[in-house]
Amino acid sequence: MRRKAKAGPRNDRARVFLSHSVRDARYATALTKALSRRGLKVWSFGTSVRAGDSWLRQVDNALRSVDLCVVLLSDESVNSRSVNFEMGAMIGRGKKVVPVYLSPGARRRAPAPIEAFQGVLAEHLTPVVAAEKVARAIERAAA
Amino acid sequence: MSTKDKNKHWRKNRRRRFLVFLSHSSKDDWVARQLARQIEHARASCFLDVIELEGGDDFERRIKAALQECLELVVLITPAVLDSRYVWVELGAAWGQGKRIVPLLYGLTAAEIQANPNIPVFVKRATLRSLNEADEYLNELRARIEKKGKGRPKK
Repeated sequence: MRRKAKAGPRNDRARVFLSHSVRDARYATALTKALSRRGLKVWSFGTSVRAGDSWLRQVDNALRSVDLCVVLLSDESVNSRSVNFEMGAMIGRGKKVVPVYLSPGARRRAPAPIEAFQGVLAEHLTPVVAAEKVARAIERAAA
Repeated sequence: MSTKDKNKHWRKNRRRRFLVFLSHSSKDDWVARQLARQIEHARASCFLDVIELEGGDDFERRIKAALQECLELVVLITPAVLDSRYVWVELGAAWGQGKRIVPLLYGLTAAEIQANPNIPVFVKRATLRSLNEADEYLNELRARIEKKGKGRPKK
């Protein structure tokens, strides 16, 4: 019999927006699955192109419906205009942000506003292990 | 307080209330300062981080407060801005708060912006003016300030 994954008392209903670069899509997909198994509702763009109207509409919908934002910061995504824009939009709307650092360089080069948020160091972690830490960080942020 | 003094006080406050946030790359500081001066001449207040923030200020807190308080954000889009992480976070924050965003191009053309697939669509949809056409924006800004001030007391 399959065991049901444990979900934290605070985050079992949390709606999370996962912001990431298309280059980190594989990690993002695995993290999304792992977080969903922990009872979180995760919303992300997958590998869709983020320059069109539908992207803006979707960011706007996310701003209205999610509780907080998890942002995957890698050497690529830290320079991504879309990821930085999405992060700014969440901060601008007063949403909490949980940065997940996928490399030491990303941590060093993360834009200053992100330093205000407690992040998760996931440089050597598999998405499943990282999901556990991210879920805890979400629980802390939502408290 | 006399009527004259009241109107003077009101005009001063009105100027202060119409805050324009000027977002730019630190590599374009000098140009940004000149633009900030023109915005002030148009009777708005301009928040420019290199001018407004002194040593010891809580950088993030001040910028967040200015973003919330501003009525519009002008972004000086230059080749340096395309690589600036911070400017895109500021743009996202302003967009998330529903602020008017005014791009002014310097060292880039509207055609180059349109052709770049990695530039968010809201920038492309905006009126893309070069810095040489900043007077048009400043005229519009003056008109918005006047419109905002229509309810001022006459007596």
